[in-house]
Amino acid sequence: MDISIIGTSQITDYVINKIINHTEKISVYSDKHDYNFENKNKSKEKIEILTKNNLEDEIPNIAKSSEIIFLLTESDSFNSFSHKKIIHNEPNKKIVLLINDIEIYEIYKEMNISVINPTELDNQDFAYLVKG
Amino acid sequence: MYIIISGINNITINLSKKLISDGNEITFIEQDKNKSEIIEKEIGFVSILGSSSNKSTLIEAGIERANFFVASNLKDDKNFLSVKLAKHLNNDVVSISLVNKISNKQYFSGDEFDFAIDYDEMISEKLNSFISNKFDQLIYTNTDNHTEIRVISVGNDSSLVGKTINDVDLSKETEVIAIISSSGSISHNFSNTLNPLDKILIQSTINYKNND
Repeated sequence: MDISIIGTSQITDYVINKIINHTEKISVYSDKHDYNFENKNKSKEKIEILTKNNLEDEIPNIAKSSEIIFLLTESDSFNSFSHKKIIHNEPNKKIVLLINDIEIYEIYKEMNISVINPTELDNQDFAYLVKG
Repeated sequence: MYIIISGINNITINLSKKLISDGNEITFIEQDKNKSEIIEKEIGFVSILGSSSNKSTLIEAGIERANFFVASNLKDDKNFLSVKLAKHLNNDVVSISLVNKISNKQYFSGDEFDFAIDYDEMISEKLNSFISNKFDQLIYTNTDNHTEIRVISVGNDSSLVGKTINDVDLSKETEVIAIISSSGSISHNFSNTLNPLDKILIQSTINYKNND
C-alpha cells in the first residue's frame, strides 16, 4: 500500500510511528528541507523523503499515485485547500488532514471528514485506517 | 449592507471606496499592521488586525450580521479556508472569493462559494475597461491637458507576467510612463518583461463621455 504524507510537522513523526509496521512504503513530501526530520528518518528503509518546490501544485498528482494521503503541514489553510484539491478529482480517496485550530477542526469533524488535531491524537486509530 | 473584506490591496481599496460612497458599511480584516494603519488613515473606517481564517477575528468583525464576505488575500488557500469558516458562522452571508491562480478556480466550488473572481482576469483581460472605468488607482489628474496618471498592479500570477509592454493591449489614448518594480526601481525600458508585483505607471486621456 502506497502512503503519502505531505509536510514534516511534529505530528508527522507520530503518524509514521503508528503506521510504519502496516505498510511497505511511505513517501514524505515537503516544500523545503527539514534536516532534523531527514536525519531522523534517513535510515528507515520504508521511508522516502522528497522535496518539491511547487508542492501546492503537485498535490493532485501525488494523490493519484497514493492509496492514502496524510496532509500534515503546519498550515491549516494549506491542508484544508489540499484536501479540497484531492476530493475534487477523487471523491473517494482516503485522506487524513491535520487541523491545528480547534474551531476549524470541529467543523471538519462535524462533516465526518478524517481530521486530526494535536489535542486529540490519542483517540486516533491510524493503523485501522491503513489496514482497512 | 454590511461587508467584511479580508485582505487590503489595490483592488479592495478601490472597491471599498465605491461601496462606502454607495452608503455601505465596511470592515477590513488584515494581518499586516502597516496596511491596516494605512487604510485607517486613508479611508478612516474600521479595520481589524488578525486572520480571517480565525473564528474569533471573524466574530469580532461581525460576521454574524454581515451581508457579504470578500476573501481577497493573495493566497488562495487562505481565501478558501476563510470563506469556509465565514459560511459556517453565518450561512446567509454571500461569499466572494478572489482567486489568484487560474488553475485553482475549479476548487472554489460547492455551497460555501457563491462567487469566485479570477485575479488574472481582473488585472489583464479587463485592463482597458479598468482604465476607462477608473477602476485602477488614480494618482493625478491634469485638467489643463485632460490627462490623468494611473497605476496598474501586476498580480502574482497575472497573465501579464513574462510579457513586455508592447504585448499588452492598451487603448490608443494610453501612454506608458514607467515600470516600477516591487523593490522600487523605476525602468523606462519597455522591452523588459513584466514581473509579479510590478506596477505600470500610465498616462491616459480623460474620456469625458465615459465619466458622465
